[in-house]
Amino acid sequence: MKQDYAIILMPHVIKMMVALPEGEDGMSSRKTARIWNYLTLNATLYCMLVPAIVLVFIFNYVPMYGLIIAFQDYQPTSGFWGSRFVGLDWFKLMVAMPDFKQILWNTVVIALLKIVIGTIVAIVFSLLLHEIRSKIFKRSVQTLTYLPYFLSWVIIGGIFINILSTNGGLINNVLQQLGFDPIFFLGSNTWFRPTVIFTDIWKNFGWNSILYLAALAGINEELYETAVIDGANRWKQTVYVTLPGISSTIILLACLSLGGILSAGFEQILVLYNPAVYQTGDILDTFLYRMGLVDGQFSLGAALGLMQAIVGFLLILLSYKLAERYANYRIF
Amino acid sequence: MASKIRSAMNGMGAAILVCAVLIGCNKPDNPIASSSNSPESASSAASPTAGNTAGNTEAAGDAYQKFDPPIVLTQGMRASPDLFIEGHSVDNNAYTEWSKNVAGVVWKSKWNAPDDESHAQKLTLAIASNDLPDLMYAPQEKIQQMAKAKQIIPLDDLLKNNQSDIVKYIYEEANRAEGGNLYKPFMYDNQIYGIPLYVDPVGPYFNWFRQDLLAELGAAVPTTLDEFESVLRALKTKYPDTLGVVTGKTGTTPLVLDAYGAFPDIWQEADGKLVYGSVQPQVKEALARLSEWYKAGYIDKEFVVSDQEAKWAAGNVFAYTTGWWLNWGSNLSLDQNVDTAQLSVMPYLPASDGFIGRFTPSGASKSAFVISARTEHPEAIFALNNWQMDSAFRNYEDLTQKFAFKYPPEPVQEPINQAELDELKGNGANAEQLLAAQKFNYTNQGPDKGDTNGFFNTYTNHGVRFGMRFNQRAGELKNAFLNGFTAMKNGTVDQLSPYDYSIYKQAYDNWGEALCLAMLDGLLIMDQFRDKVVRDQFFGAPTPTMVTKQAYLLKIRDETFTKIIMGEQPISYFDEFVAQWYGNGGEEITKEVNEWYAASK
Repeated sequence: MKQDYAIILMPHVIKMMVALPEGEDGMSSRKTARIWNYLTLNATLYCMLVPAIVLVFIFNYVPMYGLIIAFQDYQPTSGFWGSRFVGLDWFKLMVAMPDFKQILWNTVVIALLKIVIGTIVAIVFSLLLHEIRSKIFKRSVQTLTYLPYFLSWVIIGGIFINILSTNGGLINNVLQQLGFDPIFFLGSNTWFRPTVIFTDIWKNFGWNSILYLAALAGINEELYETAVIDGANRWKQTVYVTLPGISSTIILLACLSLGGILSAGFEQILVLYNPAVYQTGDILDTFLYRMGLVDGQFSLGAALGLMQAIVGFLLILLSYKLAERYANYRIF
Repeated sequence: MASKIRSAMNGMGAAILVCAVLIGCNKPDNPIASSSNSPESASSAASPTAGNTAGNTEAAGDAYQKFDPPIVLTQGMRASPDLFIEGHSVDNNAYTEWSKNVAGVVWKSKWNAPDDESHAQKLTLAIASNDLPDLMYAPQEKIQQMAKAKQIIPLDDLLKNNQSDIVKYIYEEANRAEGGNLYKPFMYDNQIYGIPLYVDPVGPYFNWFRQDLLAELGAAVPTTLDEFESVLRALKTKYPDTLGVVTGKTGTTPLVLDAYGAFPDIWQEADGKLVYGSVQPQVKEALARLSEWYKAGYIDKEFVVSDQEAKWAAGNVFAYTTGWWLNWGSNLSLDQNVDTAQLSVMPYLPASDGFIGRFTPSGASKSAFVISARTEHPEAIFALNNWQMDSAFRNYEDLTQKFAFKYPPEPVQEPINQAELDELKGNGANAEQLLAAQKFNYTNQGPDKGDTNGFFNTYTNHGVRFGMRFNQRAGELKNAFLNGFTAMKNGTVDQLSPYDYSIYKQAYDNWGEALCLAMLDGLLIMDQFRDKVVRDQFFGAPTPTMVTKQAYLLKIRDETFTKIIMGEQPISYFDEFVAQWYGNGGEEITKEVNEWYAASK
């Protein structure tokens, strides 16, 4: 969480520090004076950014040197410098696993669907909620929907196992009333992924919609009035006024979530999966978890984490570049 | 003016915010930070080294050393807080008092984990940060890791020179009971690094079943797997919602596996070589049977996710094949939940034509006590063990005739503060707390004096592992149960030996008569099948290919079993699995295991 806060603010930090008014003749003394002016004027803002910068630096940048263990056969007593260097062996080992392709595919599919569908659901929900007039109703709905976010998957997983049971579970009862056969959701390879995605979205959409609701509140009322004058109905207003108004938030959040593409929700999958659905449900993190049970696999864990981070970083870069080019979205 | 003040206030406010966050951003729950800055790491180094050899009241090498001035030893503890009565804690209780006063050893816990999982985490952290307590209890793989990294010391010399004769004798006895394999899992480079906690194998598992349901069906106790199946069939017609038997998460149960001689988790001997249980043809037959049962509804259709033990405790399952300790858990709940429930134990059932075996897990646990390489006084740990074992075993006639004990034998007494104990029990104290609160009136020579808590009398039963300890002698607990319950049945309880009586009493108080009788059935059956024992023949450390491939191989095995039983794959899929197993590392693993086997003979 702290990292999210820091990451969100970082671009703005840099923007503020970099977007300085240019001196007309470019003379350095003028520039220095302007920079100093700018800094002192916005001193409080910079002070507010210091905690974020310090946090990110200490907890995210400094420990990076520890990644070296991904390239070693790490033994705690030998420490970082004494452990044997093995280069890319751990990565080769991971990729050589017979089911690696399947696991990678599972991870990407589940994560991608969660991000895409989750974003759509959160946006639609916040659009709908934004229309509600009654403040009390709005507030209570918001609170109820973001409550599940705070519960751990151990609890929610247990609840869902019960609800989805073929033997007295709520969902299957309804299905049987409607004349269908009961479905063993958590034990069937066709249904496991949809179940995982659906339950994850159910848990998180309330929380995710908070930011969108805030962005919606920031759209200028006058724009709506202008649109009405131009003859736009509700739907056209949504498409041409509302969505463009929150587009920067949407793109930002989508970019950031893409960074987590290779972590498809370890806790949730661990609670819900079982041998019957390894084929579609086993992800990189659960695979590593089982490998780590045989031996204290520090190096392998670091290698996997490094791989996830690099892929995530590349994806953020890529999506940002795309957004910059096609959606005119700029951070810098 | 006002705006200048305002901007000054803003600046100050921002500065305060910054300071507050920077101060508060110290992560207090960082476990490495909190455990490694404890003064204990300095204390064992700070213990007065100069005074020790001069100050010992006994000569060095004496099995019962007392340290004067006292030394400090650290231990990684695993003790749930509700084991202690009011005023006591992990670092302050009857044992630590005794240890300080009599042996001159002050125990400090470096950490105290309330359950196994957090203990495992704390241990991993301690290994990673290279900050180990003097004495710890660690699983086999971690011991190999630590031995390789020279974080723990080999114990061969200490075992030879620092154990009292009694302790040596008892350890050899246990080693014989284990077929000479007591220390094998904890050896590295041909040296012993760990001493296991030895708990007598009362039995591998019992085939618990509901006697009352059987009586309703009017059937006899099944003696073969087919008979059992016909009971299940009758049960299904009468009670369609009751399950036949509890299974594991992959749908198997020892009840069926044993019947075909299938032991998927162990390495068996065949023609002088070791082979892996999961890929043997017997497993195929067992799986076929289980998939039929799945179709017929005898086993839970949702066995991959459901909580079957809860169903057993609620009375909705007919049979459950698991350890004798079920009496401490679900059986007790079952007793409370279903009035008419009556438990009994079936014999081990052969499949219609055949071979049955019984896999006996070793009495030595797969974890052991290890001593850190930074310890100043490893002999202190052994000395304490000598004291403790001396007191714990002084009532054994066969031992008192052979050895000179430090403490005279005394018959086991009832506690003198029974009224107080009853009151505590009424207030909700659990069994462990009651044990710790007992007071006795032993003679002055013994460690359980006058009005101190009867620590040693309860030593073998106390849930907290202080120091290194070796729980029981081979066969001790099982015989105690057997003698105790037989006496209960025959009404000759007053003729029991003190140890047998104490074990019997504890069981009787907690389980009630019915469960004790059920347990007796199980023990007698176990004795009957005594020579059908099958043991895991591999106790080395994980081999190199195991480290990399085992997770994958276990995954496809679990997948295969589950799919075949659930009917998603035909039984012929098993042959594909066997080919996959061998092709993806199983062949190398088998070779490595057999290399170990040949070398260890």
